[in-house]
Amino acid sequence: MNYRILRRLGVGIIAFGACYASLLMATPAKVVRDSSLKEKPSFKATDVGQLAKNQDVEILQRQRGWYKISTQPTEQGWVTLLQVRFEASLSKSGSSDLSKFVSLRQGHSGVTATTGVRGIGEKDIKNAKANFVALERAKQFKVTPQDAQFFAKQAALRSQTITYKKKEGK
Amino acid sequence: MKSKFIYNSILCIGLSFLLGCGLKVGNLDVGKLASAGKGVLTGNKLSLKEQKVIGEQMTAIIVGSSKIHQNVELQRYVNRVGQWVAMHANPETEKGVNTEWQFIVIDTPDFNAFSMPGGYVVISSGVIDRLSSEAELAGVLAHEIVHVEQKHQVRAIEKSKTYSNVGDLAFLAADHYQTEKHGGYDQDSLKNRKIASNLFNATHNLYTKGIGREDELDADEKAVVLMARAGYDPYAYLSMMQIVESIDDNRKTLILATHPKAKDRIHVAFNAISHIENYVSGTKVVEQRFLRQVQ
Repeated sequence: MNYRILRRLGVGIIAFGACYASLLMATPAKVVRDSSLKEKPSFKATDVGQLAKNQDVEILQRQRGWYKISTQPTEQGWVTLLQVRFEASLSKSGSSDLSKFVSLRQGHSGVTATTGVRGIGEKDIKNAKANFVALERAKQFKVTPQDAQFFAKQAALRSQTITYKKKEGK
Repeated sequence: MKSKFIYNSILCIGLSFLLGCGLKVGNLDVGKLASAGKGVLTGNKLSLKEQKVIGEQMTAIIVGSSKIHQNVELQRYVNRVGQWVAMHANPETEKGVNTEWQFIVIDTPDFNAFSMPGGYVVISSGVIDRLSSEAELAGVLAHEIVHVEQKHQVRAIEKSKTYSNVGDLAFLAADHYQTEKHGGYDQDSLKNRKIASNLFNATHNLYTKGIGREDELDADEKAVVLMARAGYDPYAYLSMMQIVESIDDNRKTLILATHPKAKDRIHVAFNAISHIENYVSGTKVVEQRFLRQVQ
């Protein structure tokens, strides 16, 4: 009995996980201009199809400056980042299923616990009271450069020396 | 000439007085601010120490407009990413004074990020909600770090009329001295309130009207370099900007008011990346760690 319940729960969790992963991966977007769909993320790659301006597509993954997209019915290929724009998202103003879905579309479940809360506007800054208690509390979260170095190493982030581009005429 | 000397002397005495007494108006430390205004009194640029004082007070105002996020792990995580990126910038240093980076997450659903002089960066949880990777988060933070590194706000403050008001702290301090001399010293005096209100005005102007198109695009251009220096995939900056572009306008009102159009910014960043293409191959996106932290 217990085993059955656990099994059902397990199947449910796996199904939810799969659904969640697909939501994370597929981002609705529109094609910005008539474009070629490439077989690989490279300008030299073979064309596998043509995309029309304003065509609906789904972004599946990013590789450097390229998105792998799928079109209806099942065509897949690569376009550059600048060839698509994400579909406008709705406000995340409440805790309805719709708003949760919308926020999942481009990110994750969200860390903003509050629901139905306004963001900061011009008036809020104008009428704000300086909060030094919060600022003092925030100082506890500071990390040392050594800590950051260890953190970077864990993700195999490697420093590089690159100069800023010089301003023209300077 | 002589009168100028006397006037300056009075200003200095006024400043020393305010600094010494730790005077507060409401919850702003006017004593500290008056001290920060000292550089302007002599016509100097703001020293780093002075920038830090002003930046601290401004950060307290920005934080005061919302509330700090309660998740300690999230705060630490954002500080780690931010600190690592900032270690690849070259902010101003002074003898015995360095920029100390402090990153703060506020709990608000809008997409907002602010940086204040001296190394303070505030980011909304609404930003984190919408991102998909650590590299995108690094991009948002890198943009703010560049503002501090390039002293964009400091220069905007120095140029603006409002800043001359903040700079007038010194003059107000002198006025305060005279008030004290003639009518006794009152912590809630109108003039001290004016010092506080000048800082509020400067903060309000900077963070609701912005610092100018050129500086914003400069921050976009340099942010992708900073990301690559820290080992993050600079192309994540573009996907982050595409997210900004797609957000409902009423969830990015301050960004709309203070930044060029996302479309223009994406093109500037894209061009900037084309100049560092040779450095992209070893960079990372870091999705899993980010998702573990924010779920």
